[in-house]
Amino acid sequence: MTPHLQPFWIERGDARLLAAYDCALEAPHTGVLMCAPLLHEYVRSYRLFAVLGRALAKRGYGVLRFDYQGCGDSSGDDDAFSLTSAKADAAAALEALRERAGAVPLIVLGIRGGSFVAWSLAATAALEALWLWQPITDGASYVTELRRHDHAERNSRLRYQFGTPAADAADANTLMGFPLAANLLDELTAERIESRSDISPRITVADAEDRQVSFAEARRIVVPSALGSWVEEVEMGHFPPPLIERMAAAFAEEQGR
Amino acid sequence: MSAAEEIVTLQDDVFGILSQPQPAADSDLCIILLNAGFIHRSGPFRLHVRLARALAASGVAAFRYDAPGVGDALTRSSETQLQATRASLDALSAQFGYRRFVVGGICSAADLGWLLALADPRVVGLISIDGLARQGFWYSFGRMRRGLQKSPREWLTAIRLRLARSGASAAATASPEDLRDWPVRGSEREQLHRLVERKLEWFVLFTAGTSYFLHARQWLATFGREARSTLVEFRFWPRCDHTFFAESDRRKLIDAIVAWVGARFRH
Repeated sequence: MTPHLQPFWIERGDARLLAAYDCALEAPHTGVLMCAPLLHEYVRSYRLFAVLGRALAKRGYGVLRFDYQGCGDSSGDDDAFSLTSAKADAAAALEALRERAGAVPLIVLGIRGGSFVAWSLAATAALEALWLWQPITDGASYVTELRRHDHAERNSRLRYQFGTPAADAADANTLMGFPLAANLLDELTAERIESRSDISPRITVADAEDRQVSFAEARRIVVPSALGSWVEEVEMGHFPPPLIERMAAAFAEEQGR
Repeated sequence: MSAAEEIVTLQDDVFGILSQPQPAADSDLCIILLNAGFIHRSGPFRLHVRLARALAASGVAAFRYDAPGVGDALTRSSETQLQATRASLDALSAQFGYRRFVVGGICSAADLGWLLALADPRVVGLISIDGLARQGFWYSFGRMRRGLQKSPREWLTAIRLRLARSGASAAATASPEDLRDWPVRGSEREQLHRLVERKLEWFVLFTAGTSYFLHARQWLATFGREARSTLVEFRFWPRCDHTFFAESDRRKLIDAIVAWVGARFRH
């Protein structure tokens, strides 16, 4: 069973989203949609979740990854990205997954800030399970943390050896290197994930050992630090494939596969 | 003119995005943006996406993709990076008729671009951002100048770091030459001579975001008089970091490369 990556475009109105479907079988037993993390975390973790997708594909899953509008290779400038458009993108991507995987159970994996997108999808779509990877649950705290990190990067002597660059209007409305839509921070600040009765699928949370799971009845998978410490970093690093394989096995086990 | 994008599959699990001018331009030139280290094809802070679209909008096609082992290229290849990249040029030639290529990018992409330029005559231009430069007198001078700009607090931090590193492993103290795919010291001048004879156009930019390039004169000290060739366009942006974190720096870089391509390859 050799998985094969199939890239394609998802058309959603004027937006054109790049998607990659990883699958080893004509008919996978389950479809998994990945909702990527936001801003620099998307770039930093891209390889990790590409490899995780492949590891799941080897276990018979059909895995779809996609770029939100204004992110990665999808259409739109950076400031075309908003949580509202990301949620619409995810709904279109879930439909694209359904077309490819067929009538099989569907799972959505929300990663970090992508958990807001996945959570929203889980409230409206018929899913077998919701998986969350190191989820952000409080948008306001996350924005505060991003601003702190942004300030540190802008003033880093490792990044700017001859001093920080002169103030430039182009850098005013950016965060962690990315230009922002006018309403993105307001949208993020308003997001909060809490146990709610309108989320029906089974929830599995993958997170660092010392992080408390804040969802009642959620199952738990521990993320080893080699696969979890990237959330604190901007510079690229390596993710050990055997550990990623183990995470795929743990998710499959949670699903009874 | 605007840009149209399509997915191009090069081999199993290796694909990229081709940004083409719209309406189609009558040109056999394509710019290849190579991976900057482990960053996948969209580039640091989406730089490659925006650069490719800006180039296409200016009338020149640009291609970004993941080399085996990076981003979406999940299967590691038995080929070297150089072989794999030449195979990508072959595929683009066969599928789209491109005959001339400008290659390169940031850091390891600049290193690979240099090797590719030496190995493949279809490469007519090279983009090197934080590529090869030797340390030496001017590096030491730049380091001293940088040191003079530090506050007492920064000096204390630097001393603490130095003490902490004194017992570190060899890997932690490796020089850029140990970590990068650079030619044997001393061979770069002869290699540049070959490229200049071949009329290769070269866009060279150094930021001060690397640990090894701290003074503009390191450039001439590394490559000698041929670095003054009119084929070479050299810039040093000491207030810019290695991955172009600031939006203003990315805009400046995109504008500079689009202008360079327009000036050097307008036919």
